[in-house]
Amino acid sequence: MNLETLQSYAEYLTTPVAQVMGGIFAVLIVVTAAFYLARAIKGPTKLIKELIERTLSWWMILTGFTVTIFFSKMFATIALAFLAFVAFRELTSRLNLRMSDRRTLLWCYLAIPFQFFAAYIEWYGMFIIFIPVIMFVGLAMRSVAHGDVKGITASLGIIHWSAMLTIFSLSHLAYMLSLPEKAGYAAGNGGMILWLVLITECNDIFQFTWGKLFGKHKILPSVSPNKTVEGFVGGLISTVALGYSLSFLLPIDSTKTMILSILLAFSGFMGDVTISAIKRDLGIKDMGSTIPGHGGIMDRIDSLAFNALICFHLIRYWSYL
Amino acid sequence: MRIFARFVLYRLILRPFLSLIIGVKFPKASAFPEGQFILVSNHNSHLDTVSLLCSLPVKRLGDVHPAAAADYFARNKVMATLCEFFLNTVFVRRKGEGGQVLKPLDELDMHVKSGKSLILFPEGTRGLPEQIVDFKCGAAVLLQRNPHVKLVPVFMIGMGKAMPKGGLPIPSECEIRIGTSSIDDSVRSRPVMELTAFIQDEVLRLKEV
Repeated sequence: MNLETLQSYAEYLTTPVAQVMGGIFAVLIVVTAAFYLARAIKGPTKLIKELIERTLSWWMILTGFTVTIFFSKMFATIALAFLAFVAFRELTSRLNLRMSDRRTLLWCYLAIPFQFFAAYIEWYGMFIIFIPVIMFVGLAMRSVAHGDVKGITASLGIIHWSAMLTIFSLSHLAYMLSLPEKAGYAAGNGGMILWLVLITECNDIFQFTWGKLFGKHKILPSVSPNKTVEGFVGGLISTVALGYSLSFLLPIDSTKTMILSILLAFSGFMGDVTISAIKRDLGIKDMGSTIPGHGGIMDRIDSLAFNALICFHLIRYWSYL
Repeated sequence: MRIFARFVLYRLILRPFLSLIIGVKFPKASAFPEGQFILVSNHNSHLDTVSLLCSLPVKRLGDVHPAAAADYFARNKVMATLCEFFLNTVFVRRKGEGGQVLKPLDELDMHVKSGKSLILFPEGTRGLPEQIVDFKCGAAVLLQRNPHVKLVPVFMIGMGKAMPKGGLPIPSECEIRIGTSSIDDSVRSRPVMELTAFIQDEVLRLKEV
C-alpha cells in the first residue's frame, strides 16, 4: 500500500507525520537489532534482557499510538479517554483512599467521557473548566454528602489531584486534534501530538542514557537516586536539538519551538520526579505492571501528563489566539 | 452446550469486562495444578468467585465447583438455577434447613469423593478488604478425609474495594495470587484445628509476597 492510499483512510497521517513516523520505526528497528546482536555476542546479561523487554514494549506502544491517533478523531479521542481511565484507576488504586471515597471516584469515572466529549466537539469553555472548576466543587459536594469526615481532607486532595493529573491533562492531547486548521501548516494537528509525545519520551530516554553514561552528581537524592545533573543537562541539550530539527511538525516558528523544547525538558523532568516522589512516599517501586519493563501506565506517562498541559497552552497562546 | 455457554460467558464477556473495566490482573492458567484440588481463598466480594472462575483454564470449568451458602444463593428457584448453570455451584445448607439428611460437610465430602474440585471461602462470609477472620474448619476436614486432593491457597487483593459487601462495582485494580501449598501427609494428620490454622497461614503468607 502506498502513502496516498493510506492517507485517504487516515485523517491525520499527513506527509510530514508519515515521514517522521517512518523515521521512528526505522530507529526502533535498528535499536532492536542492536540489542539482539548484543545478546548474541555478550550473552543475556541483566541489562540487555531489561533493554530488550523495554524495546519490545516500545514496539507495542508505538504501534498502538500510530493506529489510534492518526486514523480518525473519534477513534483517537476514545483511545485517549481509555488511557486516562486506566491511568486514573491505577493511580487511585495505589493512593490509600477510604472505602467511603468509592462514590466520589465513581463521579470521576463518569466525568471522563464528558471531558473527552467536550474536547471532541471543540467546546473549549467547558473543556477547560469542567475538571478544575465544576468537578472541584462537585467532588467536594459528593464526599461531604457521604458524611464520613475521618480523613476527608486527604481524600479530597488525592482525588481531585489524580483527576487533574490523568483525566484533565490527557484530554489536552484529544483537544489538540480539535484545534482549528491553520493555513500553511502542513503537518496538521496530528503532527503536534506526534511532536509532543516524541519529545517527551525522547527526553526521558536521553536523560536516562546520559545519566547512565556520565552521571555523577545527583539532583534530588532523596526523591530519585537515578536522576543526575549530567543526565538532565545532556537530556536538555539533546531534546532541544531534536525538537528544533522537527519544528516543521508545529505551527510555530523555530525560535518558539526552541523555547518550548526547553520548557518541556524541565516540565517532563518535573512530572517524572513528582511520580517518583509519590512512589517513594508509598514505598513502592512501580505504579503497576501493565507494561513489561516500564512498570505501570503512570510510570510511562508521568512526564507526558505535565508536558501535555504546558505544550498545549503555550502553542494555543502563540498560535491560535 | 454448557461448555460453549461457559466459554462465551467467561472468556468472551466476563474476563474482558473484569480486566479492562474493573482492573483485575489475572494469573496464568498454568498456576493451577493438574488434578483434583480444594481451592481456599479469602473472601471480600462477589467478584471473588467470578474472577476465580474466569482465571481457570476453560477445560476445567466443568469440574470446579464453588461452594455457596444455600440460605443465601438458593433462596429462590430462579437464583439457584442461575447459580448452578453459570457458576457451577454446589450448595451448602449451613443453617440446617430443609429437613436435611446429611450434615453440610458430608454433602461437600460426597462431591469431593465423586471427583469434583471445590472453591471454598473458609471465612464463611465476605469481610473487610484484605482482613482475614479466622477460618472455619471445613476445608481441613475435607483434606483429611481425601488425602489425594491437593490444596491451592489463594489470596485476593482489592476485590473488596472494587465491589464490597452491599456495594455496586466500581473500577479499582485487583490481583489474584495463586500459591502452591507445602502440605504433606504429616501435616494432614494433625488435629483439625491445627490443620485449619496451617491452611490460614498458607493463604495469609501470599499477602506479603
